Amino acid sequence: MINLDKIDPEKTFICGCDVTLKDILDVLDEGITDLEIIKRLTRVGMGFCQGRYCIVTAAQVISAKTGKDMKEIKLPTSRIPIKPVKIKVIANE
Amino acid sequence: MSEVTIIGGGITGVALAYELAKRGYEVTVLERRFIGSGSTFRCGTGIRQQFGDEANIQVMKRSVELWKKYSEDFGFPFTQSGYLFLLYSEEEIEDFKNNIKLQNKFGVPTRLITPEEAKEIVPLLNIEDVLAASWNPTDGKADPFKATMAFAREAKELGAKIYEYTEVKDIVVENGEIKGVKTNKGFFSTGTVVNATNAWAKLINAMAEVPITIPIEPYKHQAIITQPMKSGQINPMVISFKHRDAYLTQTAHGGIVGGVGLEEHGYDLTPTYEFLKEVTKQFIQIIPALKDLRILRVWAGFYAKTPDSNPAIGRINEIDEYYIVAGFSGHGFMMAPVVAEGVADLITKGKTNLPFWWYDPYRFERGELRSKAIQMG
Repeated sequence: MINLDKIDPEKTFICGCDVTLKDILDVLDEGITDLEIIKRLTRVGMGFCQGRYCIVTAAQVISAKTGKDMKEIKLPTSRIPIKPVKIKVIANE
Repeated sequence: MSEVTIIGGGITGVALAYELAKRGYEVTVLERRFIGSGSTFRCGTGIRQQFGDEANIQVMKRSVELWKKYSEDFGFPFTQSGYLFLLYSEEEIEDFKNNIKLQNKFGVPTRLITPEEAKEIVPLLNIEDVLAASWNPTDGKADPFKATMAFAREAKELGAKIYEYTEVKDIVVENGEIKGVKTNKGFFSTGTVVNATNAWAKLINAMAEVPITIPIEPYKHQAIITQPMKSGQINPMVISFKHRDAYLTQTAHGGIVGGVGLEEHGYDLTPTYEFLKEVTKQFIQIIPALKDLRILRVWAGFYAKTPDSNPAIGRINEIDEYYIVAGFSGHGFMMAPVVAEGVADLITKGKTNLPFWWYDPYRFERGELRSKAIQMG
């Protein structure tokens, strides 16, 4: 489990798309603890990795701050395409 | 005991909870999953006044005023970046000239512009074959996540109760009077129920045994979002009926969001390869530069459609007190602030100054369908 007290929330990036630990903590401070909603407000899990790298980290932060068991935190639906693919590849251009 | 219980925690439900709480009512919202999860968080983000009938134009003009007010008061992103309809035939131009005349009559500043003017607004546009465009700079878009959560927050601050992961199982009506709502989390005692479940409205109407026919059916519509590109390149919502009712725009984060009108009846939400093929083919004809962007996600949501693509909003006289606020046919997000205001007035004062008669839920039963609301995606 991550010890959140030992890291600087503003300098700690949860994901490669510029989402910081502070972004997540700010939403948690508003009383919003549902990963589905935290994802959409902070955009964690909505970038190039499609959540592959960051969404579990975000879930761990929620678990650490709320005491919710990791098993109780439902991960958001994975969307196609599995990897980002260029429009022209699909359109056969 | 709650004075009013709203079923459905989409933007319509939470905005209505805010408006009722502001008027001093005790309100409860019941949401089957999380706030926004039904259709709001799956929407295309657009907000427009360019409709083809007097009622929707006036209603949406008020909605845009409210979008502006609440985005400033509550602090969520709403921009008036316009809607640009690309027109490819003389017939389309004639239709839009009539719409523009009507929109101008109610103070919506839409005008017909040349393809070159359209290209000044969106430089990446392919204007080959474009004959003209219908342009209203006061239409816009908003962040559905931040907007919905802001209405929910403000509603709660005024005392509204919002219960998530609370699924309605039955509505208890005795001698035509509502007694309460049964859910998987227990019984909620209430005297007034508002059905704000949009795509699921028929299921809730059946529980209350609504004695009239209100045809609202779910249709799967899909959308894509691409990787971000440099901001400010596609500010307005760009619409082309020629390209299979396509709509697309750039989000505040830089990605291109949009879809085409490929719909499927029923409650399935699985994204399809067929859609992906179609949307990519159409998008690169409208804006060729999109071809090098990567697609990040494809998802689906429901249009809750009525036969005339106008919602059913109003009191059901046979049940004391039951209101239907559903069937938005793809326009629920953009209409939410004005619908919340109007329905709150209906509930608290028995009337609204807005032309909600157009959305009379009894019109289907009487066979008085409206002219079809302009719809895309």
